[in-house]
Amino acid sequence: MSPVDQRRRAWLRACCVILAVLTYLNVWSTVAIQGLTDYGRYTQLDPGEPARAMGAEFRLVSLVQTTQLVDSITDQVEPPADNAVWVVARVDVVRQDPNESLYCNFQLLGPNRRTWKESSTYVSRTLEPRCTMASMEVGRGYPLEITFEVPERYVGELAGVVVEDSAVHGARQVLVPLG
Amino acid sequence: MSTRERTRRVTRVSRARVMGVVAALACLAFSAIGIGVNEPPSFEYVTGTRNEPVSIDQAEVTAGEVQVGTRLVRNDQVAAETSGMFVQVDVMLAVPGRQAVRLGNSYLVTQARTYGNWSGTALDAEPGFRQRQALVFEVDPAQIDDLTLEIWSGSIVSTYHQRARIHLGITADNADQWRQAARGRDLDVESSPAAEALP
Repeated sequence: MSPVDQRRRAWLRACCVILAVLTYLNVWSTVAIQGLTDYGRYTQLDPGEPARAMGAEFRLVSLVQTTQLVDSITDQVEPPADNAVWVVARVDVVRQDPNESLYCNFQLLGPNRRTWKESSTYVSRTLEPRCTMASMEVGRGYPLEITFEVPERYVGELAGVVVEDSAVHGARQVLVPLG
Repeated sequence: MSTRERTRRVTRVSRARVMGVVAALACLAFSAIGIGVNEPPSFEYVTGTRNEPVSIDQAEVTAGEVQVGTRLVRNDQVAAETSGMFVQVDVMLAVPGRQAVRLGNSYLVTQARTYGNWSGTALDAEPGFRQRQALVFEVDPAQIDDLTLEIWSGSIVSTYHQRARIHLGITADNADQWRQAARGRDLDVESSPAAEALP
């Protein structure tokens, strides 16, 4: 084998080793960064200030608590779990960029970075809890209503509604109602 | 270059190569032994008894009532029947901490057997809530001495975690009574878990 071939082979080996190390580091740094940023970093917006994410604008119109949620189909009053209350968020969504993927996922932020997901108890309501990306026109407002079930003792300490954006690793925006 | 010199050079290169391979293998073996010796356990057991809360990973797990039978009944209809024995354990998960907890892995274990969760149900509670759920297992009636519930949360990326081990009170002394109690008995299976906020 000529010295040129030997050198070429050595470079090839070195490249393979570097590539393997970089792949390993890339995978683990991604896992570590996700672990560090996914939980517990929020930016609380000013009361009434809209959040901009996923090519859309999200505005919290109201955030109210109740112990009586009326099912729009059966007209029956649905009580929350014992020692809990319903917290109902009205959010207006305006799509601004049709090229971005828009998902409407929200969480309710409480004290000590406690969060609650949308209630899994099914109660039919007039307004939709989620947006349908395919049918949303750019520039038009779509009202959503998201229902959360929260322990009664935390109701006075709620911080706002978190706009979930899985594409962004970092602080998540928290909508705060006016007043 | 003479033939002798060429042969000596080739031999030298081959020897260096062999030494390199040996050194690489030695490094691999050394690191493998090091990992084997120093690798910390990926979980720890927290043991408890029935009707007593066991604290694992910011959550409290309590195994309550244990019922046995040979038929599962849902909405007055037989959902399943076994020639062995069904064990239904009433489990409660309370989350006083700030992160939601999902206990998706549960088994009943004896010294010789591990029984999987027959219904595949998990416990899931948000911060400040507790959830009660009946977990059903199909077991061999001949192998129920010291039946112990093992339950823990699991995710795709495995991290250090705690597992609850709760002895259900079935021992070699009373195993016969449990076997007899199960014969021809129906167990009502709840369709949905019950949740409430912590007071």
